[in-house]
Parts: sequence; C-alpha cells; structure tokens
Amino acid sequence: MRERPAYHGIGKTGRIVLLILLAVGLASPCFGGGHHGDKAAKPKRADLVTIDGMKALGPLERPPVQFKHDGHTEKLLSEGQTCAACHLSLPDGRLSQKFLRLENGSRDALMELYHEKCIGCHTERKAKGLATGAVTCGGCHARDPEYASNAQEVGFDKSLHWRHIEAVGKKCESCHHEYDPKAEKTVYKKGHEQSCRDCHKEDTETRSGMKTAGHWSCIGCHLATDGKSRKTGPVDCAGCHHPDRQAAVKTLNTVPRLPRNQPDRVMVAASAADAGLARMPVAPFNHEIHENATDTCRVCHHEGMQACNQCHTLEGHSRGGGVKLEMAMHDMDSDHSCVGCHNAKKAETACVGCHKIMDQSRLPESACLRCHYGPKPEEYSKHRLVETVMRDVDAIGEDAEETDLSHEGRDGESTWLTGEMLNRTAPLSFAESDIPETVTVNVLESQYGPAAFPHRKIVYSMLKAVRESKMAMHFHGSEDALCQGCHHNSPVGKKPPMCRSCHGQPFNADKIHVPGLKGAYHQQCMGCHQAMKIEPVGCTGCHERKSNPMEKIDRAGR
Amino acid sequence: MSVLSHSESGDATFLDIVKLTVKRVAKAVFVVPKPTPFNIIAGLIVAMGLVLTYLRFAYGLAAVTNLDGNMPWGFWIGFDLLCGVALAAGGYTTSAAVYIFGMKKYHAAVRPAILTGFLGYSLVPIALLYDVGRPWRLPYPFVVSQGTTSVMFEVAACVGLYVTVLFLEWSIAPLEWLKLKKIRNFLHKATIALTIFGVVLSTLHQSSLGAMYLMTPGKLHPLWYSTYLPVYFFVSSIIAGLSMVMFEGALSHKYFAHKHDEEHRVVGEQVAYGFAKASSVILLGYFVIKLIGLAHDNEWAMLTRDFYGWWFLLELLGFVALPCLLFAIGAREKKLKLIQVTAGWTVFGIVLNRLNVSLVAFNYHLPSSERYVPHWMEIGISLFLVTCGVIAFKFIVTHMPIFYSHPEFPEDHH
Amino acid sequence: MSISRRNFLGMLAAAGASAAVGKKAQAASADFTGYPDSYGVLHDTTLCVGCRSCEEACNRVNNLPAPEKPFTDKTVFEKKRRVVTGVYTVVNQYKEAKDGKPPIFRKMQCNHCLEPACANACFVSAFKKTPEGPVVYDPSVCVGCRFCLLACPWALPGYEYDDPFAPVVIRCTMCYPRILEGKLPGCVEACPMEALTFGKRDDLIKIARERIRRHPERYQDHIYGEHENGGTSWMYISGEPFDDVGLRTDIGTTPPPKLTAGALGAVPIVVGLWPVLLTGIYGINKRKEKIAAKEKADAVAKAIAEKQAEADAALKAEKEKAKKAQAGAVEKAVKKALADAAKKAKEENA
Repeated sequence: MRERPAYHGIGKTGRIVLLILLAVGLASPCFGGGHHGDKAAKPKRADLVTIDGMKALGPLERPPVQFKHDGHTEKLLSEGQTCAACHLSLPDGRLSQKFLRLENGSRDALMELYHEKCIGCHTERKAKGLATGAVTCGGCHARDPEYASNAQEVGFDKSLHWRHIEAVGKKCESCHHEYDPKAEKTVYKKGHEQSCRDCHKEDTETRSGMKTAGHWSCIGCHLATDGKSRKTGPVDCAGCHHPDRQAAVKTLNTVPRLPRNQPDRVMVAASAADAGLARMPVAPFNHEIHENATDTCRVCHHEGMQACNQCHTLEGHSRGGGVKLEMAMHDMDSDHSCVGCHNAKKAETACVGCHKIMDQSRLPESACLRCHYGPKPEEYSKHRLVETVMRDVDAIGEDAEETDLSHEGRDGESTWLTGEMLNRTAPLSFAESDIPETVTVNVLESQYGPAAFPHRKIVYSMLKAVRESKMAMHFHGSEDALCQGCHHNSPVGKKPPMCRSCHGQPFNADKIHVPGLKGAYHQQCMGCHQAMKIEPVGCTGCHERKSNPMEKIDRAGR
Repeated sequence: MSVLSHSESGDATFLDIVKLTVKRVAKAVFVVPKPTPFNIIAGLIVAMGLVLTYLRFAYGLAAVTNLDGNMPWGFWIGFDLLCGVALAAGGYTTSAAVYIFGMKKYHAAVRPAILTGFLGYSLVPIALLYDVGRPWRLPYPFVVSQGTTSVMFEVAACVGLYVTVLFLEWSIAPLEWLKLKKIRNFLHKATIALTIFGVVLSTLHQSSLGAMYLMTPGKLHPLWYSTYLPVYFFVSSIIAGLSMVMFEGALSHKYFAHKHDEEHRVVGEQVAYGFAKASSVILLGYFVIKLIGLAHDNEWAMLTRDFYGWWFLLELLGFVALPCLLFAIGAREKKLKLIQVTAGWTVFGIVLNRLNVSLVAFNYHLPSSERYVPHWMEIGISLFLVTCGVIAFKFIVTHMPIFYSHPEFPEDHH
Repeated sequence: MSISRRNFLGMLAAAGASAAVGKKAQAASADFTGYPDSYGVLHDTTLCVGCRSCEEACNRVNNLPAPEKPFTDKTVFEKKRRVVTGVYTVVNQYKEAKDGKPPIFRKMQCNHCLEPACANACFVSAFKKTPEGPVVYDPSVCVGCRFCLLACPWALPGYEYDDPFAPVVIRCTMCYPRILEGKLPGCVEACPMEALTFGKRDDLIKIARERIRRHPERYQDHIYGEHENGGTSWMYISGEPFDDVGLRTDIGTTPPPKLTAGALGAVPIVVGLWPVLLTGIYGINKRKEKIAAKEKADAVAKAIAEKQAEADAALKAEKEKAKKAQAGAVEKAVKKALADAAKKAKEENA
C-alpha cells in the first residue's frame, strides 16, 4: 500500500488561489483599461534647480535632485544670512553661480561637497530644532520629483527695456558692451548696441552663456540697487520666471523709439554685392511702423542687429544659414519673415473671415507688387541708397562715424515711397447706391425659408475694419481686395456674376473642386461667421425652419 | 438491417432489438435520483439554467448578456467555445497516441478521453445555440450560403465533422452497453480511419480558432496578438488535451474508483507518467514559440510596461514555464500527485490563455468604462451547460464500459 | 420528383460556384485596389457644424423608428454615441468650442472598406462589396454570429441584441438602392455644409488632396481611409489629429483578407499531408509490431529448435551410451560366456 501523500488533487488553498486568479482575470478589464488619466497634477514652482551637474562626469547613480532655490534663500535671508552662505565670491567680486565652490573638481569631490554641505546643514538645523530638509538619500534623490516647473523664459520686451533705460539714466553702457580684441576688454560703442544673445550663447572658457550672463547682470544689478534711491527688480527666481509675476510686470502704454539711430524707412533690396543679380523692384519698408508693431528687435533681426541682406544674400550664404533673401522675406511659416508674420495677422479675427477660404499654400502673383513697388534694382543701385540704408556689417564698428545715419535727407527717396504706402485711403470707390442693401437668398428654398442677407451692412463693416488698420489699408488698396473676399474667382464690378453662375448642383464630376450652391452658401456664410465670431451661426438665425424640413428627401419602401 | 442483428439471439427481429434497447435505456434513465450533495447542487444549477434559457430565448441576448457593439463575443465564446474545444482535445491526442503512434500500453486511456472530448464538443454547438442571434440558422453555412473566405467557415465545418467523428468513436461504448454487437464491430474496424480523420480535423479547427483572432490586430493586445496565433492555439490544445486526460484521470480515479477494473487502475498511473513527459516537452516547445513570437514582433519592452505586460508574463512563466518544469520533475521522479496537480494547473493555464485572448486583452484600447465584464447570467448559462456535461459524464461512466473492458468485448488490438 | 431533383442539382451547382468565386475573390485580393469608378463619400470634418441633418435624413430614407429626442436636440452631444438598434449613423462631438475655435464634430457610420473585414469574416457570405462602392448586407442568411462586428477594426456595425426572434446587424448601406436610382445618399443630400462630398472615390482623393494643399493650416496632411484597412470608400479629412476625432491611426493598411490568408492557405496542406503522414506513421508502427512479432516468433522457434536439437543430441548420446553399455554388457556377457565356456572346457578337459 502506498502512503497517503501530503497533498491530493488541488488542495483547498489551491482552489482559493485559482478562484482569485480567475476573478482577477475576469475583473481586470475594469481596472486594466488602456487609457490612464493624467496623474494628479503636481504643484508647480518657478524656482526649481535640477542638481545633475555630475551628469557630465559619468552616469548618475541616483535620480537628480530637485532643489527649491527660493525656498532656501527666503529661509536663510529671513534668518539674517546672506548669499554667501551658499555662494563663494569670485576674484572680481561677483558671486559664483556654483554651490559653495568656484570650480567643479572631480566627481567624487563634487558628490562629497553636496552630501557634506547639504546633509550637514540639514542635520545641524534639525539638531537646533529649526525648519530643515531631508537627510536621507531618497529624500533628495526622488525618482518622482515633488514639483513640476512652471518657470518661463524671461526677456525684455520694448516696455521693460525702456523702463530699464530710464532706470539707468539712459546710460546704455550700463548694460551694453562688446569685446574689443585689441584692448582685450569689453568696451561700449554708441549706436552699435546688439542683443545680449548675439555674443552670449553657450558658456565657454572666456565668455559666459546667456543664462549665466543674464543671472550675473540682472541679479547683480538688482542686488546692488538697494531699492530706496531708485526702484529695483526682483532677485528671487519667481520674480522673473514665474508666469504670474511676469504677468504682473508693469507695461508702458507708449514706448518711445529706442535711441540707436535705426532708420525710419529702408529699401529692402539685395546687398551691394548682389546688386547685379537682383531683378525685382526693391521693397520700401517702413521700419518705424514695424518697430511699433513688434515686441522686440529680435522678432525680425534674430540676435544681431545688422541688415537682412548682409546674411541673407540672393543665393544664400552660410552667414544666413544658407537661407536666401527671397526665402528670408517670403517663408510662409517663419516668424522672422515678412510674409510669415503677415500671414499670422490674417488669422486674426478681423481678417480671418475672408482669408480662411483663400489658398493658404502660396501667394498669388498679383501680391508681389503690393510690396515690390520701389525703384528698379539697377536705378536703386545707381543712387547708392543701399550703402546709406543697408549698412555693411563689416563696416560697422570700424568706422562708426560714417554709418551713424541721420534719417532726414539722405534717404529722401525712400521717404516718399513709404509715405505713399500710408496714403492709400480709398479701398472702395463705389457709391453707396451701387452697393445693394439686402440680397435675399431664396433660390434653394425648400427645407428652410428665404434668408435675407444684409449686403451693404457687411460691406461697410468690412470697410471700417480695413480703415482701422494701416496694414490692412496698405494691402486692401482697391475694390479688388475688398469685394473679392466673397466675390472670388471673377473680376470685380458693380454687377459681379451671381453665385449660382458657378455653383450649381453639388458633386459635379467636371468641377470636382467647386462646391454646390447650397454648400457654397453655407460654407461661405457660416465659415465667416464662425471664424469672426459673428452671430448668428445656427440654422434658424438666417432662415426659418419649415414644419417638415426633410420632406424633399424620399422615404424608401422597406 | 443486417448490421443491427442482436448479440443475444441471432434470429431476433429488428423490432425486438429496438424494444430491448429502449427498455434498457429507459431503465437506466428513469431512476429517481438520490438526494446526494452532487444531485442537489446539480439540480439547482439545472433549474437555474432552464430559467436563464427561457430568458435568453424569450427576450434576446440583451436580457442576459453584457454584449454590445464593441464586444460582440463575450464569455460564451471565450469559455464555452475556446476553452471547451481546447480542453476537449484529449480525444484526438490520446487516440492518436495509442492508435497511430503505437503507444498501446495507454489503450485504457482512450475511452475516457474520447468521452470527455465528445461531451466537450457536444456542448459547443449547444452553447452556440445560445450565443448566435438566430440559432435555427446554424446549418446555413453548409446548406444555404457558404462563406468560404471565413476562418469561421473552416471552424464550423471542422467542428461539425469532428463532433460526428467523436460520436462514432464514442458510440462503441453505448453499443457495447446495449449489446449491439454487429454495428459495434463495424465501427470498431473503422477506428484507424476515424482517428486519422479526427487528427486532421482537430489540427484545422484548433488552429482556426486562433486564426479567427487574426482578424483583430487593432483590438487584441499586441502581446497576445501574433501571426502565430493559429500555431499557439494548436500546440496549446495538445497540451490542454494531455493535461485534461491526466487531470480528469485523477478525478475519475477518485470519484469513480469502483468503476475501474484492474487494467484501468494500473494503466492510469502509466498514462500519467507518459503524458507528463510528453506535456513537458510540448510545453517547452510552446514556450519557445511564444518567445519567438515576442521576438518576431519585438515586444520585449511591453513586458514590464503596464498591467498587460505583467499579466502576460504571469501566463507565460506561471502557466507555461512552471508546469513544463513540474511535469518534467513529476515524470522523472515518478511523483503521481505532483503530475496530477500540475495537470490541473496547466488546464487552468489554458483556460486563462483563452480568456485572455477573448476577454482580458481584447479591446485593451478602450477606456475601462467601455470595457466588457460578463453578466452573471452569461456565467450562469455556461455553468448550466458544464453541469449538464458532468451529469452526462456521470451517467455514461456509470452505465457504459468506459473505465473497464466489457466482458463480452475484450480489447482487441489494431 | 424531377423538379426537386433539378433544384437540388441547381443548389449544388450554385454552392460549388459560390465556393469557387469566394476562393477566387480571396486569391485576387493580393493586389485589389478597389473597383474602378466606384463611389464613395469624403467627410470633411472641418466643415461639419453638428446640425444632425444627416442623421435625420438617414432615419427618413431608411424608414427607421423615430428617435427618443428630436434631431434638433443638441444635448445628445454630451455623450459619445454609436450605431445601435434603429440608428445607422451618428454625429459625435469630439471637442467643445474653445478659444474662439468652433466645436469639432464627426459623423460616424460604416466606412465601406474596399476589402471589408466583415465580408471576409462572414461564414454565410452575407456581406458583399458592390462594384458601385457600398458594402451591402443580406439579413436573410445571417446566422447572427457577430464575427463581422468582431472583425471590423473600428467596431462600427451594431447588432440588435434586444431582438429575440430576428436580430440583424445594423449598419449604413450607403443608400445603395438610392445610388442605383441615381440619387445621392440621404445624409449627403441633406448636409447643408457639403461636409459630405459624394463622388467617384478617385475624385474624392483628388478633392481631399487639393483642400489639404490649399489649406495646410487647416488640415492634417492625411486622407483617412485612403489606405487604412486596405482602403475605404468613406474617407475623412480633419483639422484635428485623427485619433482625437475617434479615428484610430493604429489600424494599419493591411487589407483584412491578408490577415487570415496564411492560415487558410495551410488548410490544403494539412488536409493533403496529415492523412499521408499519419497513415505512414501508423503503417511504420504496425510494421514494426509485425516484425517484432515475427522476430519473437522466430526467436521462440529457434530457441525451441535449439532446445530440441540439444535434447535430441542428449538423447542420442544417451542412447549411444546405452547402446554402448548394452554392447559392452553383451560383449562382457559373451566374453564371460566364452570364458565360462573355456573354463568349462578346461575343466572338462582336465
């Protein structure tokens, strides 16, 4: 006889396990669903410094540390300590931006420093019963950091720039400088101010990057100014980087032009070197008006303040990243190009109603001369206006006197050209009586009643909108531009072709891109109303619903 | 009529034989059941099943199921069809082993395996009567309109034919019970042909059940979806069949010990060792082709990504790799109980796999609010059908020569 | 009798033919790119304003039951809806109006694939792709297995789960009868915005490409349905990423018949090879058994023969011995007799 084994069949425990597994398996669709919602949103801070400097010295063994800079400074300053508690002074008196060191040193030394100083301070404070931070590994090296950053990039717009100019008594040299290789020091050159980013890009041996330079200059100056004799700016992280604090920064309603001798008007043309190659009439450009319309010089100029054609040549140059002058001005997707910026304007509520139905992939040929109405390139080059307006980048600095432009007199020709640009004041010449007051749309009447279309009211509201904008005035110089918003694909006149001349039965195989009449009306009217946020947008706002709107559609016999 | 001649008296008329047969069946069927715990529970389940059946056919699928547009196939397809067919694979695996591969020593295992297979497969069309919208049209694919491009057509044709084959294979037992000697002998002669036909049909439809899910690459989680799905289903059906024979052998041995003759008692143990060894090898192969599938679609990174990864790993390691190892140990060390427990574990693993494919990992892309959870009545009807199967099993092994050789029909070898 | 016989033969022929056609269609699917000049609908979701006119028209042309809420009721957009009993198409709202941007709607119905998964999956061939474009469904043969619902990558069809007696699959017909009459599908005719464009599928692709070219700022650069699931007759262009308007982008471009072509292709191999292999194995085992039996018999016979021979030899030796012994005894006896005789003679002589 065999002995009775210790277990037989599936034991009780086994059965329970099986049952549980089965239950989990069946229930899992309930909690195993594919879409996990967002994790609970983390609290946000603008002062987070990620301590991961050792990354450069080898792979990290633990997750980087999230350090709350403002949290530390507030506490320490309130206890009477200074920045020196954490930052050493450089020989020139500035504070090192590194933590308690001037140079990084070895990986081990760096780790030792952080561990000793951070944990040391935290432990000491704990012993004293003061508010303190973590002393365990995971307390600082958290895999899932406690906060999310909402720190924003910070920079000067025109208003903030002007407020700083006034604050330093219009002494541009307070901030602006450039490096003189002969003197081996930084010097200030009046009229040759560039954006900081032109030189301060990445941190190098000899030159600080934008972030480092910015923190030294801004915080250094803010710290040095006590705030009593004159106003000063923030020294904490959030002061500059927190979105709410940024929104609270005072903005001036009117900002005077920057005193840098920039031209009022320029001729946008190929550079002198390219003169023989240019064919298009030059484009007169009102620099002054565009200064008002933009926030910073960098919107158009990138970092350096030189003329467009110095880097963007007709055939492309490495200085301009190989981007040709044509592309630099006409790239439809760029923030820096003329067309790109103007295209963005077309998406604004006042403009989008007409512009949204137009081909957005290219400009029509008729648009070229809207900008290129200046002198022919050979005449222009004869007048040598290019030298006076478009300065040669290499000449700048070597002979500052000569390139110190005075606006009046020397660019007289461009003055009248850009003047004309602003004098186009009559985009509509039809008499009021020539503009039908109401157009009743009833050709398709079946499911809904007729729609009364307030034609004249719409024309005049469009006209009003155009007249309110200098840019719109320039580009909508005639009836062509204004009427063709709706009356497209046909010449403009007092009696343009009827909509139904082109739009008929839908889905015509010979005119596959032309909507039917019903579709055309609805797309045009509702599309415009929707885009320009004009009431009404529903069905019954324009025409009344009949008792049985589907009457015309046959029922099928079943 | 000649085949129907009766064994007891050579000159009995056809009518006599029918009368005798009916009498014998009636005597066995119309017995007042004793109030044993099994009978009480089975009775309750059957009563519930009849009520649910009424609800299903009177009020439609919506009344008893949670099926919807996103989840047209629920628990009945996942459990009754996919698991039922896989677990009934013991019939073809055992008869193939014995009759074709010449493992005569396991002969005693064939009849129980065929019986389980036959009952399992019989439940499939019955379950489908509940599941399809218009059950009376089930023969349509054969007689009215043939959708030959459909994998399901293949499944339907093969399952239909295979149920017939299983019936013929199984019917030897009732014929012996009813002492219908000539027809029994006629069928007995066809054993080899039926076995080969059965293996062909099983290969086709076991794999096609997997192939049906080839149609759902966007709905089935990529860890379970694979172009090898038909191969997985076929190979795992062999494992399911072998394990089911071992597992069920253990249960039968326990609950129907009195029905076993000496040969079946002894062979039962031999079968377990032999099948455990075979299962271990096939499980290893199954494990390897599963890995090849993962490698083919480069899905390694998914394994630890989320719930599905861990769940897949659990299935792969816990219910494929682990039983592979345990079967090997059991077969080598001759540990019968370990083998029997592992067989049960493996059977559960196959069920888990089929439910994963059909329910858990299906529609994984939907938010949990739109996911399907079976209605209790769906599970109730499945339970009802399984209970009917168990009752039939009990009846058959009680009356017919399944676990013993009929004294009048000594086993003759092919 | 003769008529029924003819019918039966006719049925057989029809069955054979349909089986042959089915196989051929499947084989041809390798590079099927849709019927030439077939129709389709292009849904431009940027034009859809959610007026539900299409739903109303669909309800009317298909004689569907009146809905619970009227078609002018916009509160239905609060929930995501789908095709259910009595509804062949729904418009869902995917984004609410925000920051001056209009809300985003999309109409949803059967996409009428070029090579429909439902048709491939159906084991009674209830679905058919017509050369005109619509995929049509024949409820008179439908068994109700719902493999079509399972196979549809978008889970678009619905099923009348609540009907116990004659449930059918619910789906858009693309108004196939109306198309045959030269009319537009009901929804297309009713759409005020022409957000639904009806036309030859090739033209629709041209229209879609032109709209995307003219308005790169408005559209995603993709025509959904041009290649999805092997191509569909109902296509979409959208301003939002397609996943955000409920159109899965992980569907892939494999035509559904290709998904199971390999598995179905293995059937003849199994049917052809398995019996031969298995019979072979059976034969080999049988032969092995026979040989083993013969060898056993031979061995037994041989052993018996050997034993016999041994026994014979032993017997012979025994006999010989006995003989010898006998002979010796005789000789001895003779000798003794002779000696005795000689002795006697000696004595007598003495």
